[in-house]
Amino acid sequence: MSDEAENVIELRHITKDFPGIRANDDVSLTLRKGEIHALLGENGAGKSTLMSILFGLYEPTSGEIYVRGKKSEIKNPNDATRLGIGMVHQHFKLVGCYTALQNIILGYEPTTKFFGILKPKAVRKSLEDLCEKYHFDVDLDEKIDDMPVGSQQKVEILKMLYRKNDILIFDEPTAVLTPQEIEDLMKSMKSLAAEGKSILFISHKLNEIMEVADRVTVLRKGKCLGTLNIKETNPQELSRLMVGRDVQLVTQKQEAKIGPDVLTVKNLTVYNPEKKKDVVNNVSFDVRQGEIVCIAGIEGNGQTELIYALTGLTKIKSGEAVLHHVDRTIFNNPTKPNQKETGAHRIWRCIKTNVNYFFSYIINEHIRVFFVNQHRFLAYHVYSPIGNWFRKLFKRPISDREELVYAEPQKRWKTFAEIEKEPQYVDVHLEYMSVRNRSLAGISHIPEDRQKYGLALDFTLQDNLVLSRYFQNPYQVGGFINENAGRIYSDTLIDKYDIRSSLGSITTVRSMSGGNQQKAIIARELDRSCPLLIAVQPTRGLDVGAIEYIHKEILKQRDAGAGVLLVSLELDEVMNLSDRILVMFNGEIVAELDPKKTNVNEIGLYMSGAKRMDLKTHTDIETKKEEDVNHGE
Amino acid sequence: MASNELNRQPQPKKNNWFVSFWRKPNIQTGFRNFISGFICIAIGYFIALILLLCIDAKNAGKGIIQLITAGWGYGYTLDASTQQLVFGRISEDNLPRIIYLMTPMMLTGLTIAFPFQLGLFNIGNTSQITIGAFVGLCLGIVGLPWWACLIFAGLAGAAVGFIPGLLKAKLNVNEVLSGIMLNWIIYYLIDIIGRLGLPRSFKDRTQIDNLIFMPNNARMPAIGTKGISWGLIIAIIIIVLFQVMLHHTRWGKELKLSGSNKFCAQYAGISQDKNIILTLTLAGLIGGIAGYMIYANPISPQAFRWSSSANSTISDGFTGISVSLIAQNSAIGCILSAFLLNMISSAQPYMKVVSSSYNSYITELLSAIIIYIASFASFFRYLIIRYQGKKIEQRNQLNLTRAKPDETTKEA
Amino acid sequence: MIQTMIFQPVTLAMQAGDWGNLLFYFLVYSVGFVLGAFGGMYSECSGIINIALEGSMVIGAFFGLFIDFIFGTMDPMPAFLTTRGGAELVIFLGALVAIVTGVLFSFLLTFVSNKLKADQTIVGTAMNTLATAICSIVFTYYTQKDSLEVRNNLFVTELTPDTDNVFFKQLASNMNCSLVLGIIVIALLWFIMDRTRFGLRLRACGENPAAADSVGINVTRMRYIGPAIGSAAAALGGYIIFSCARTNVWTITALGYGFLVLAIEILGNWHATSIFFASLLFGFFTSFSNVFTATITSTSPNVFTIRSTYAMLPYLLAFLILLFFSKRSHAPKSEGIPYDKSSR
Repeated sequence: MSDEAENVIELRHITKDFPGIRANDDVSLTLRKGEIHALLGENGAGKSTLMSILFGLYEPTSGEIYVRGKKSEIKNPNDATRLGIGMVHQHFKLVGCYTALQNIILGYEPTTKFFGILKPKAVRKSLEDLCEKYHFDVDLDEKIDDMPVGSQQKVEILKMLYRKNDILIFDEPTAVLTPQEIEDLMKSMKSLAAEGKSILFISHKLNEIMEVADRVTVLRKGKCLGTLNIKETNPQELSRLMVGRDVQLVTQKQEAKIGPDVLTVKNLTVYNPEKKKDVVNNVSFDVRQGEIVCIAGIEGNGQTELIYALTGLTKIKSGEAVLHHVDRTIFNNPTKPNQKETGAHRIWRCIKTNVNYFFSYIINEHIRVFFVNQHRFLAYHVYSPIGNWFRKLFKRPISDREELVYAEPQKRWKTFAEIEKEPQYVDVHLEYMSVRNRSLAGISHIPEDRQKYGLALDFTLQDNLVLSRYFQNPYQVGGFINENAGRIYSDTLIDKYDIRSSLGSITTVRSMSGGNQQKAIIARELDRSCPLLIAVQPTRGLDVGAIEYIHKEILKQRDAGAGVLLVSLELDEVMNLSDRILVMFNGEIVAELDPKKTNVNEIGLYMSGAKRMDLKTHTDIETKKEEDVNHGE
Repeated sequence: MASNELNRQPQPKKNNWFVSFWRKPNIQTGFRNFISGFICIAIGYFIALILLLCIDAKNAGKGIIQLITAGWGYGYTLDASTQQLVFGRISEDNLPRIIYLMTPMMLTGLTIAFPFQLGLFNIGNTSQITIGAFVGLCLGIVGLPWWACLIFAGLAGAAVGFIPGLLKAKLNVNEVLSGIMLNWIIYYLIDIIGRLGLPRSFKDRTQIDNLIFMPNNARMPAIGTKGISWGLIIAIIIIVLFQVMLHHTRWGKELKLSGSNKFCAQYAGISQDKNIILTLTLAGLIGGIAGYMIYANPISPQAFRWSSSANSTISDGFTGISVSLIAQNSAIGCILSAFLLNMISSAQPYMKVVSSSYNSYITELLSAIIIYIASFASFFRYLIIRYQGKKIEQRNQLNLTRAKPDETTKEA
Repeated sequence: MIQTMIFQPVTLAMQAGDWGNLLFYFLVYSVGFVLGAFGGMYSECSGIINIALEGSMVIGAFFGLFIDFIFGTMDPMPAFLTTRGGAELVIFLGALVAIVTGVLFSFLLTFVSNKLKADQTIVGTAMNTLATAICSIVFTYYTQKDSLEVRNNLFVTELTPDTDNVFFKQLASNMNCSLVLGIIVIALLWFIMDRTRFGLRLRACGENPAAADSVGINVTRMRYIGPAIGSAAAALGGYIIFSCARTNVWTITALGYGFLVLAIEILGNWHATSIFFASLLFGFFTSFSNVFTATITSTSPNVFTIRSTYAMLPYLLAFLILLFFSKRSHAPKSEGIPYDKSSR
């Protein structure tokens, strides 16, 4: 803490426009020497853009930057470094196979005068001193890929210190850290500030801001709402400033007519090898018919991976997800969904499943055994799988590689006569099913990243609209595509959902606007009327009219009896649409709330990890420090 | 109802049959491929013209015309009496020769063009072709008829093509590297089999490094006497089949989708593994058939060189890469592109006539330049798309400034 | 029985006494392959996949041997060329020309990859054909004949050493200064990649160009320089192989050594030391298989007395390594992906 006159950084009336959106709107910020200044805001508030402007990655549309009292132009990161500004990004800019030392000196290497031969010994001592001074436990010769994330971040900090940067910017530093590493980081930040370095850090986690910051600036939707002293404020006020506004109930909702369960998820765990942790950790919930369940949370807390696991785009490490009341006969003949099965059909299916079994299962088994279980290979001679195959030649398999799963092994292969006696509507385990089988079973998925997963950008609108049905009968006959049927269907959808494009059905999707692309995806998915609809941020990037329309459609699906699992970052939408709110933080469900009885601020507290709920009893667990979380549930 | 209609986008006017045909995405892609291929060829010829000017400026014009027409059988010859270059017919056999050389080349081009739809670069096609040729030849020598040789050659190629596919799908091994390794492994394997296992009667008496020519009933039946065989029809049928399959069937659509955006393909439920394995196996099948056809020509077949002694390299598959590049990786384009390459190389003996300083390798250089430019032809396609986009924008601007359709109908 | 099968070729070789040749060819091929592999490593570590190593070898070998050819067929032959010193000077000049042509050849790849964002594998493959065609045209234009055999007259009589010892005679008869230059260049390249600032920055560009950009390194410029060095090294390697280890005649082809060098890169996992030892292995097998044709005439051929087995072994080894270790390969992470500054 130091006197008022020393403003190390001053941002005056910064405005930044991107095509179609104003990311920063007349934001002013001052940073004093030796202080820790936090930037608080929701997703899309403009915090990262502002700091990128300060670091030279973008140039402001208007506004001025003053560094140590002098007006400065920062056009690229080199300029920023020269002025003493350094930034630690959310996604680290480190070379994975280099050691820490090599990463730190990259770009500012200590070399001999001729030939540029590296002399790392010259700086090793000073770096080790720095490590000792700030209590960084970093092995300078360890490769970045082998280090835990906290140490990687410390390497980034050392990079800045090595370049003698006084002004350090952290972009969401605690997003990827474990609680202990967060503690470490807080301590380091405080000692750095005590040295006289000024720190700016972006965060949405209130408890960390309260613990370590001196002042905080709140941004909302690109506008600056003011700068407060931490000592004079409290988490509730900050939360209200961050998200608080009158929630407008735009859509009239009918009462939910809740039926039996559609989806039951139990102890689902998903492992991410890149982040080396369980990004979804023991999650259990259920979705019932006629209800909208919304998973709220800040981006990056595991919602994406949860949805990918449910729809089949990622593997599940452990746990189960069961879809109820699925018509078993859909899988008999996916191309002609409602046709009755004749004897010829059965023989053909028998042949197909057996050939499929032969190629995929036997080859897979041999590869698996050969490469994984080599000690068993000699005992596992070729005869066995083929022998099994002969024994099952005339039975249709219902095994763990097929569409339906029964727990008992003896139930897995049955003759057609036995199958007839099975009930038509069964519960299916999603973790054994392929993506296509899951979507046939009745899951429709509106993906989060519409350009990566949802649409094939170089294809026409017609191809994209038919994407969920192109293998079924009117749209392909005997293997050949029936373009007319596809055209009629896509024209109907364009009409019904008002999708605007330059050429109609034959427009290349790449040239359509983002809103219309999203409308195309929604048209495709909602038209199927599936029992379970999974929608991830369906209204991202859309204008108010489109948002209203999409909300109406989702409510229509709910009223027709579907179960909807909604994942959203917009608390407006969450409060508006949902019948039940689940809050996700750090890969776990930390709260289950009723939108009629809660308010946005409370959700915000759960979202940022400040509060936690025991899901069985619906009471709060007191969490003063993050460490207790590990000892808790 | 009326107010709703006004809010909606004005209905696009009904197009006549040509416009709706022209605007189909397949036709547009084909058109763009054709134009960018043509640009590559034009630039190649232009650079060849500059080269001819550098070497011998006086006869450069005649030289470039000779390059274009000699393949068809017309060109300049030296008239003995006047010592002047006269344009006339030079050969009756050039065109049939081009056609029978083109037959296997089309299929080797297809072995590269087809997996490219999925984003795979099947550089291991040499191994598939070589093993197809070897198996086809051995079975032919043993006494099987030509159609049996063809089928078994295809199956051998498919078996070899299966390996990189399986490795890529299950173990994520780069198919370029495994293909290159497999090329050499198969090449040396055939040599080992030749030295150890092959009976003496298979090998040519005078040239021990070669196998004997394909016996007569194992050669493909001929059409006419100039060397064109049924192979041409089979090759064209295969190419047309693949073209239809890629653009008009469900599986072809899945392949194109997987190549364009593999995440979207995964989202749509398409199994990537199965497609990769099937595609490379099919490419191997085509390669095996192509290999058999190279050595089974009815009139003048080539000799298969089984031995790997020094100075023999494997380049059968690389001609496939050349063909496919110029064809912009489309199946039908392979036919035209194989024709073009053979047309250029058959002009080789006639360049010396125009001027003594034009040597015969100019044709080789021309082909190589065209192939090099074709390797970055995606840039030309990008330029064409931008140009077309600008025209669409201009057209839309014009449409917006015109009155709305419902207003004009009211007035009318 | 298996033991006799394996030891038979070795005993036959010992009887024929061809150790000198074996050692000589081992040296030559190893140096050539190491240079080629280092060339590929430099290129790929900067982020550009370089399949055109075969073309670089052809171009380097051709233009180097072309210089030798021009001097060697000068009529009348100047006096100094008949001495060893003069011949060595010409060979050194040839090596320098090979390096320069390698650098120029690389621009065909890098310009198209960086500016036009083309697919690097395809451009590299197309360049291989182009290299052969360019060499053919230059040679036939110069000699005004249609034959593609580059004869090298420089070494025919003057350079065989005057000893009776067969070993030394074989070892030194074709040795020339380009081999020494090659060894020096190998040491230099290894040193640059491992110990200097340039090597550190180059590898950073291939691993994480965003990180390199954020510390101020000009990634595009590195992506021109890296393949240039790489292509030059491969060109020198090609020149060394084809000027030392050959009979008097060379037709314009690299015998697939360019692809062998790619296999060495995989085996060596893009590390300089591993690549060095992998090329020694490959050089041994190639030299063994080549010496074989000359000396082994065995009465009962089996798999181990055939040249092809040994020639195939390196490729088989690389294939098996690919099979088992693809998941652990440390290829530079962003090779093949054109760097887009706007995606900061």
